[in-house]
Order: sequence, then structure tokens, then C-alpha cells
Amino acid sequence: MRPGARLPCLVAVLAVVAASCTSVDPEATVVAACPDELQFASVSPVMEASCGTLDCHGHPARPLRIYGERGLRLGQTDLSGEALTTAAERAASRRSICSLQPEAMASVAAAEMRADALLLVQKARGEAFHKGGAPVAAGDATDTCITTWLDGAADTQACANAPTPDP
Amino acid sequence: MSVAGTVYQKRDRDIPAWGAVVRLTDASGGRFESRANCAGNFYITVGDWEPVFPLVVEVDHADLPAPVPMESHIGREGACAGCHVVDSGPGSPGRVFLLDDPASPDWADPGPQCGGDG
Repeated sequence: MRPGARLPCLVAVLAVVAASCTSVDPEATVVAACPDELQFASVSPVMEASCGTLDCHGHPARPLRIYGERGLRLGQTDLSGEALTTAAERAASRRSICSLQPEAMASVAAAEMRADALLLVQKARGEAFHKGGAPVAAGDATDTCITTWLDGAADTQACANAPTPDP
Repeated sequence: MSVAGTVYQKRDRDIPAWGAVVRLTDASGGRFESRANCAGNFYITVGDWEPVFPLVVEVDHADLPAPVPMESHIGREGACAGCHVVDSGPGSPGRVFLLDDPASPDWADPGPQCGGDG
């Protein structure tokens, strides 16, 4: 085969790729939705303890960032391990959680999908690859606290029974 | 190394916690102890122990009334210095230290050849 014989094929492939690139709708939007902010006050300490250590999601470079008193602080003058978790830190953690998969989170918020379909839950349970292993088990207090909040009604008793930074 | 780090007496002083005993418990319930050398360093090789994260840690020392528990667990990082940098700030509690009170008497300083102030 002559070297140039593959050229038409390559052009055809590029044309398909270009067509698929231009098929993305730049005007498409997703209505951001996030589970209840007030209820997250019960969930935040649980996620701080199970997810938010400095070597895991208490790190500014991770897509999921959990802020808190024993981990990553939001204010640049705040010290890790010092003052209690602030309302601004809880709000930043919640934003980060809801920004992981905004489309899927919107579906969960609209009760079109269950929380256990979220990567957040699957990773925490070790059902999807997670470098931090499986810090929760389906149905334990931490898992129940997080998933019930995501599904719309946090189980505050489960949240109270789960490990937190201030036991 | 599976876990390694340096333990100091105080937050802001280079006084190694010579002889500190670092006790670790892993997610499977396995336990391991390591003693800090005169520079405050301790090392656990993979051959000695390969823990299942997360780990719970406490550090004891002959001059402490009780062991000091680490305030959070270790999720996945075996190098203490991965999080415990010298200066505390929003992303680090500072070095691994055992006494909060800067006015407490200094422990024996092994000298600059062994990590002390000298």
C-alpha cells in the first residue's frame, strides 16, 4: 500500500471527530440543585471525620473538598486543629459535594435517582475505585447519615451515632 | 516505608521527642508500635508492617501523664510530613508535637547532631 493511500481514511475520521465536537451544545445548562443546607449541619461533622482528613479530602486540590476544624480551613488565617468548623466552611463543603456531579445531583434532588447512584456514595462504600478504600459500609451510621441527606431527609439519629471530630 | 515521621515536644521548637512511642491501629484491628530515635524520627518499613488504612494513632512518652491521641485518623498517607509541615496554617496543624504549653520545661536536648536546638 502506498503511504498516501490511508489519507482519505484519515480525513474521514477527522471529519467524524470534528462533527462530534461541534455537536456539543454550548448553550446547554444544568439547573444546580443541592440537598438541604440546614440539614447539612448534622452531616458536615460526619463527613469531616470520615472524609475530611488532610491527607484525603481535606486538601484544596481535590475535586471533593471537605473543610473543618480538624482538617482543611477555609480562611487563610485559620489554623487546622484550632477553632470550630464555621458556617462558611460548611457551605463550602456542601458546594463542593454538589459540584462533583451537578447533573446527577440535580436528578437526586428531584427524586429521579437515588443517592447510591452518585459517585460520592459509590466511592465511599468502595463500590467504585477509591484510593482511600471503603471508609463507610452500606447501612452503617455514616453511610445512612450521608445518603438520607442526599435523598432529602437526613437521618439525624444516624448522624448523631456516626463518628465526628468531637466525639 | 509504610509509616514514618518526626515527633517533637513542642509546636514551635526543634526539641525531638526522644524515646516517644508511636502506637498505631489499622482498619483491620492490627497494631504496631515504633519508638522515636534521638532525632524524634520513627520508621516502619513495609516489611515490618503493611497497615490497612485508615489508621488511628497515639503517641506516648515517659514525660507525659497520658498518651496523646492524634485528633483525626490517617486516611491514606503514611508520611507524617505529607500533612504535618513545619508551620501550622489552614492546611496543616504544623509539626507532630506532644505538648501545647510553650512554657512547659524543655525535654533533654540531644544536640544539633541529632536534630535538637543544640
